[in-house]
Amino acid sequence: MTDLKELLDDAAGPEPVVTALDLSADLDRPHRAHRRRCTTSIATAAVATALVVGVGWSVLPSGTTNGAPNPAGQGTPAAIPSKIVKTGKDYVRTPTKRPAPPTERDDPRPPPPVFTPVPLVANHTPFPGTITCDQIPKGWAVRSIGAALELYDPKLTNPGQYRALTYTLVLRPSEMLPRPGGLGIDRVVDESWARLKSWHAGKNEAALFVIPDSEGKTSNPFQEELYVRQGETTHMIVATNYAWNLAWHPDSLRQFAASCHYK
Amino acid sequence: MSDRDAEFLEYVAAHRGRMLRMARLLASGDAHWAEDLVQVALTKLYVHWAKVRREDGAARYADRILVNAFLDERRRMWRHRESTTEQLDDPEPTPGPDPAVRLTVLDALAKLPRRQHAVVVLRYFRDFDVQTTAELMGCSEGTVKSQTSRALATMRDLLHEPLETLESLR
Repeated sequence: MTDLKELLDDAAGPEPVVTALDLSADLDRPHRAHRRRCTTSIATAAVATALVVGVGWSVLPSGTTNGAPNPAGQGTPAAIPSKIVKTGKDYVRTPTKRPAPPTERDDPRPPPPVFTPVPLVANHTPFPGTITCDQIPKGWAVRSIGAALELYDPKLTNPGQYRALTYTLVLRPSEMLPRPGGLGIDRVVDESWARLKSWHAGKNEAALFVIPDSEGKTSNPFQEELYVRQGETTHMIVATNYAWNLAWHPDSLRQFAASCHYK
Repeated sequence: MSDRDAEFLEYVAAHRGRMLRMARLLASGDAHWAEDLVQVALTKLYVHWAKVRREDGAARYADRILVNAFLDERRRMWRHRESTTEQLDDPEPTPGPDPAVRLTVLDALAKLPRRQHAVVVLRYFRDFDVQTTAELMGCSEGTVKSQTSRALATMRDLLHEPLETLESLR
């Protein structure tokens, strides 16, 4: 076997001289490999995290197909006619009484969880009734409830698992009414529109209110109601966003309401 | 340059030659493949440098990578080797005592099955004992012994006649 060792030693050839160039190259390649390995690790971790979150999201009972809140269609309020009260001087209406979102004590069912806000997309199908909008929450549908329109997520399954008035958006027509100091809205009896308007929805004047719950508290700032006056007319469009899980910023609600108009 | 790089370069400067000679035998004289094997080994060695230095010892790890890289590539049905061309890239013969003997030995190594090939290099070129060879190849000592026995028998058959012929021609 000594012979074999000698033969192998000869066959292996002489030991090469290692130059500085060799060393530099021997370090560059591992550096690149190391960087690739780090990048791959980070990318893999990101993908794995996204997968876990995605799977967890879909497994949650409240998940919807569009990644949006899970609105359930229970008794969304329609516009309720306001009551006309005769006063000595003028006709003044009491504030319109609308259904208030129940508190947890009233309705122990949970509200839908907060999801990524549903984006607005162009709407090419006129809504039923007198009002239509040029935009609509992506994937949502519309149905008439009296004179009002209710927007809801048709892909929602088992909506009854959620607390009422937490997952729909209501549009209703309204008219300006006589109020002290001028015309006003059905929601506020002692202020005129000139004192209430503080926003704009597109080119129209608007007033924003937080919807109080059944105890009169405004515990959820995302449940908002936006009154939009249609130009200089007395016609109003009221957008009531009970779907607080949309997590819409007031700007989103204004953008949506600005796209709504009378036919 | 970081401490890691400095240590790695120190190791490479000291051991690259030895690794290349071993790779030449594993690659049966294919200088380019031998370089590739060494590069693969050095790259993996650098990536795992902290662990290797702490636990295993770099030389042992480098040998293991070399052998595994060789076995992996030989195992592939479709090897990613460059195709030959009409013009030689490195026409100068490798310096050594007798090119004919060298080529005969390398040719005999090339004809061995890959594991026998690796066993011969590890045991008779690197002088590893059976236990170390088994650890490096990830097999039992019995396997190493049987592979060695078969490899030697084959080598004897492959080398005896050509070497006799070469001897008679001198």
